[in-house]
Amino acid sequence: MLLAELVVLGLAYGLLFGVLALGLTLIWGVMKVVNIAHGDFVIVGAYSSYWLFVLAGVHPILSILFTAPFGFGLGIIVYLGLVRRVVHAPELMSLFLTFGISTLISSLLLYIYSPNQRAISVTFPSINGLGVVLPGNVAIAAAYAVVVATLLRIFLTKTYWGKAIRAVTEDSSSALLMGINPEAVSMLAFGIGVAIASSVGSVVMLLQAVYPTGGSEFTLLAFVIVVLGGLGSPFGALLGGIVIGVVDNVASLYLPAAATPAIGFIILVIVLIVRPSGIMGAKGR
Amino acid sequence: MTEPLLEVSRLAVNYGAVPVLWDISLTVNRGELVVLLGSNGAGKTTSLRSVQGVLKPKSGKVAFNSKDITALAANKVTAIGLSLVPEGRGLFATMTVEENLQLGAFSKRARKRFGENLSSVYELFPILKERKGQRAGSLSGGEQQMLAIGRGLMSDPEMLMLDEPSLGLAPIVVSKVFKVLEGLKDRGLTILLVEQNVEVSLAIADRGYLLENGKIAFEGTPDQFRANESLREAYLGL
Repeated sequence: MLLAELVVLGLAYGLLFGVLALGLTLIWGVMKVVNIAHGDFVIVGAYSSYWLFVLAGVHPILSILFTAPFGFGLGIIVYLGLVRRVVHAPELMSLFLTFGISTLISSLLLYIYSPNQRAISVTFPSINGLGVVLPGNVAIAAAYAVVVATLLRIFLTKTYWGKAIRAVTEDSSSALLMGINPEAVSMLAFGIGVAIASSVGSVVMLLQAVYPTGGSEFTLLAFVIVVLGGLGSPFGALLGGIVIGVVDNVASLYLPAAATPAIGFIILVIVLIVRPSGIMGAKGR
Repeated sequence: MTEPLLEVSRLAVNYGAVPVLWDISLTVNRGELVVLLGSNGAGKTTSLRSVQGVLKPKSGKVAFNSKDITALAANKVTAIGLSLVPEGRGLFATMTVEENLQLGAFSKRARKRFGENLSSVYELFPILKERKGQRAGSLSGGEQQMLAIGRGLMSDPEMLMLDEPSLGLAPIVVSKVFKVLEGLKDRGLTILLVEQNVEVSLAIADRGYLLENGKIAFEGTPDQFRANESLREAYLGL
């Protein structure tokens, strides 16, 4: 059944997008910075996996072991060098800055790797069940997303630093009184956010071709999901991802391909009219 | 016991270009309960926030345990044993009671004594133990204040500063909270209390300061406060 297949496909893609959005919402929650460069870090991860595969034969899934810590380190460097300076500035400043970082990354990739699309062909056997066929690569992407979401949940609810991230997100001046250093928490959150984006890039290599300036699409997607789900809410981000993923895929059955990307935005507009704080967002914001 | 634990000398604080505190000097000795009184806008909250290091003073000095902490960041001040229970409680409303208490013990020094402090907080406020899995935002006002105090105690402080713990509470709950503060003092905790509730706080205090327009206008024992006619009429409403 085609419809059921598209729902399952949408669910799988939605989980991956939702995890990407988790990174964005984590950063927003802690330091109220919208990271416009989020999608560009996806591309950085994707290119890293591409070259690891082409030059050293490293499987894209295995290369997550590199792209995740690499992204974490990169995030910390970018935070300490740049983002730290605008955390307390008006929000427009942080938008300008992360937009600049985005342009810098895509330009560098363009300069180094040329504008050509890059793709690798690795295929996992597809999964059959209940009359539904799910491409193996998409299933792997969904599995990756579930693992990351679970690890993040454990981190945020069971560890001191995870709770500190939630505390700063909820009330940073109170967190300061607890002895929590908001700078350290911001650095950690930015590192985790970029680590997620960059490891999502590795998984993206299993699903599609990438090119240096493709990051903005991922940023936009993650941004729509975050706003849809409710700014700063990790669960909302996952839910928003699933909504967008499923609707996008199901819509492709009924609408011309050129029109389907509009569906996500239409949903966003409707949700914002009905519930301005997003599906899981705090009321009265 | 007159060994000074907190010494604030000639503290001046501006909000932007506007001076809020002019010249604050006060001392809290080890084991004392000192109350800082004053009307709305006198600078009580600003004083506590400056001592804690949330606000940076323009001039003056804050010393804790004979150590100059004037320039120390607020999170580090908590970590060396001086803790502030803020006005309005500042709880993490979406997190559970127990998570709030755990966050109170974030600093290394407090984590070492986590189990010990948690059981003593639960002993002090049995209701918090009952509600430990509940979201802090779902507690009643009185329970929230107890959680705020309990969370402050989780930092294993030598000295606790409380900013208007009676705010918004019913009189019967206020007397409960003050009984707890008295009990903490008896256990040897040093306390600096900011209050508008004059009578109740003078009843448990060893000494008091009156803050007026950003300056210390009077200091003395509760009896000296009560005996001063002009104070009674002008500020204290006694």
